[in-house]
Amino acid sequence: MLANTGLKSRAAFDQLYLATAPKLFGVLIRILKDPIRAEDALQDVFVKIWQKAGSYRAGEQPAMGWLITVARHHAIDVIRADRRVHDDLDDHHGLAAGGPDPEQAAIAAGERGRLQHCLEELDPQKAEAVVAAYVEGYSYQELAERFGIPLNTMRTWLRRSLASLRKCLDDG
Amino acid sequence: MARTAKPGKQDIDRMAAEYAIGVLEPADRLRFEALMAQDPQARAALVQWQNRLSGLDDAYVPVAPPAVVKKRLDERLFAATSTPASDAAGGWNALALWRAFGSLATVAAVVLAIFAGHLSGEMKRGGDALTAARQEADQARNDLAAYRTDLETYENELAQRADRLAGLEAELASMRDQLGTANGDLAGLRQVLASREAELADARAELTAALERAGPVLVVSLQSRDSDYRFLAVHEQGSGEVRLTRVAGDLAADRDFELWLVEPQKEAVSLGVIPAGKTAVALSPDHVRVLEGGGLLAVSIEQKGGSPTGVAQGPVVAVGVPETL
Repeated sequence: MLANTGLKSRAAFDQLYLATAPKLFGVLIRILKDPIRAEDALQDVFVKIWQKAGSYRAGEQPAMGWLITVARHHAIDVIRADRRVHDDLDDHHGLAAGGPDPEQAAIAAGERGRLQHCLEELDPQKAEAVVAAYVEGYSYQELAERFGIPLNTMRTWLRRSLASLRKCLDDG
Repeated sequence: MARTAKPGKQDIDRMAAEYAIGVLEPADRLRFEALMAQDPQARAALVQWQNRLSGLDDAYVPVAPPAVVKKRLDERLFAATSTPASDAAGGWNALALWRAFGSLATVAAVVLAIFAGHLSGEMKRGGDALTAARQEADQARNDLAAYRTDLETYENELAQRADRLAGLEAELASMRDQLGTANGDLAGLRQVLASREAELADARAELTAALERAGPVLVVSLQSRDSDYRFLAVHEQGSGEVRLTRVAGDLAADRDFELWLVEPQKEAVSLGVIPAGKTAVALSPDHVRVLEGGGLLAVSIEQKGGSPTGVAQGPVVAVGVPETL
């Protein structure tokens, strides 16, 4: 019976991989900036998915969102551990595997109308910082460097922006 | 700056947001992870932020991974011996995850269908078996109830038949009694008949004897349309008696038969009480003269000892006219 279970869920797992691996691969490439490292990371991510699958609760969070969370957090762990060398802003665009820049990301987020609306309520630079932090997985340090502002200011930017976003999203 | 106090709700929310984005610095990250381990509200705050920000996921462009990645993944997860640990991790508990992809991609819809098909097939088969078993149990219960009802019916019928049988036996006993009585009656009647036949035989004998004698014989057959009494009287001319025999009719215990000689246009004369059975009644010469002259003989039923008045008190039950043989 257990072997049967394994077989069935393996088939399901295969199909899950088929359905979602490209998107997650895209996430990993975007954050890791390196397709080769992204391949290893993809393997690790799907192992984590297999192991944590039982803890997923459908009611709390959409499944794709959950999977991307796993991928993003894994990628961020990797780059934080790397203590990645500061890269040039331009280099990132080149290695982004054709991915849009933060502004594009905000526009892409337009598909989630409410988020777009609430991001637009923010100061454009602050919105950009929020989006970059999320999509690229930048640390406070990296963000501060990118936007040329002190670390504490970036912390304040982000925290206040997140607070505003929350208010906008929850109430607005 | 070390925080010793438990963070307030706003702090938790802030940390959850930063964690969700990924900017939470290592020390705070560890603190928040520790907090989530104990506090469901911290976990819930994180999930809420992940949901809020998920719109930004649209920025990620899908890229097809090399096939080798899956190959290595399969080797890692599903070793040749297929250890239960790795199977169980992704197994049935992951149903929610496998199911979720039904709404995301056509291919994923196939996942759902395949998995659900396997799952529901088994469940359906199990469910069918359970339903069948339940139906059988219900059927057995119904059969049992029906048998019980039948049994009750049979028992009731049996009780009724037992009652009827008892009734029939009582009837039979009563009929036996009646038969016994009837037999008794019959025996009595036979006795009466026998005695009557005896008396009749006597009368015949008398008659025959009288016929063999030389002298003329007067025979009187006494009877009446209104009664069953019959007597036979025989008088040999020249004898001073008449011999009388009762042929038919019963006499009540407190009564006596009385014989009367009836001369036309004259009052009847009592010849006395007739004893039971055959009897010879003495006649005076006057009586003989009357009788031989065509006088009637009659019998009445009187009180014991005969009529006290010399005149018939009771009913005359038989009358006869002498006839010469």
